Amino acid sequence: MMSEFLQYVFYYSDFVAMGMSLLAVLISLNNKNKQIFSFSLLFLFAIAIRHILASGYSELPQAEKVFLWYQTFEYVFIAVFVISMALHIVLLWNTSKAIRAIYVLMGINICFYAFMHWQRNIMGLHEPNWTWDLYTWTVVPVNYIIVGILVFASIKGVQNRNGNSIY
Amino acid sequence: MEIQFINYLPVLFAAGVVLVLLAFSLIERIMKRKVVVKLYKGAPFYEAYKLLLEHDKAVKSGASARKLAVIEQKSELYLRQVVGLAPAINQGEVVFTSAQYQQLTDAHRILQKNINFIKTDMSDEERIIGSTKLKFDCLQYGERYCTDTKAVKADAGVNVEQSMQ
Repeated sequence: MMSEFLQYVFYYSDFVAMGMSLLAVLISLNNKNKQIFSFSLLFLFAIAIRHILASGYSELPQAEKVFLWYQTFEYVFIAVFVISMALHIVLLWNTSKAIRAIYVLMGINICFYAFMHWQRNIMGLHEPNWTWDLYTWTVVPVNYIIVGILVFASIKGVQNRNGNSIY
Repeated sequence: MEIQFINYLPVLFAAGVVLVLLAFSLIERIMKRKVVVKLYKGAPFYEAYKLLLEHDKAVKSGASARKLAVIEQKSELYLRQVVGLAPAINQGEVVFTSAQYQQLTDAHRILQKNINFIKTDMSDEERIIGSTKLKFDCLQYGERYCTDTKAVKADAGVNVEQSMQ
């Protein structure tokens, strides 16, 4: 089981992620990068919703807390993926390299979630779940990579022939 | 502990998302085509877009020369329609219909995008040459079409040929 200290660290590291994606939102707004702006706004909302719900779960027993935390993460991130894809299709935006890379990273996150859930179903709901560690140590860095890509891509203001951002 | 179906629901969702991710480019292409058809049905460039798409498809699938000739004939007919939409010059004044105005606005937008492209995407040397050429083109165009309307009427055929080159 993950130590209390690390749980606190990850809980409050949400603020760092939110701050960085807010930075990406503001810079991409300044550079008129529609794709990165919409995605980083959605990502910011996703982390905020997850954080608010997680603080709501904190009074529940550990097993249910962890279970709901996983559920929230999966559904919120799938929704961000679907909404962003729909925006790109309906508004005829070019899906830039950065967004494509982020989609793949989100897919990796969701795969780890599926693996974790499968393990958990086999081990039983109230077993001490080692997968919590595995899941956290894979998903948290991947989330920070996503935010890093957002900030990097929002700084680049280059547009192509059709007026869409290259990054 | 008994494993119920509902416990597998998130896994199924995840599998669905992964499938969507793998098929993403295909889904995006198909959906975008549908959206374009819906949005631009009434737009002046829709016909050209459709013809281009048809031509692209025919070339990609390796269609016969006869089929390609039919498509080319269609696009020729379309181009003749567009030429018919050119503005009329009446007593030194250029008269537009609203359809012509729409077309010219579109053309202007495309030109503006190309200018933006020249400014951002090219190397320094290419950009200087490109924008200089563009300026010369604009000056020549202005001299031909915007100063002396009688001259334009006289060598209209010649000018069209020159501008095609």
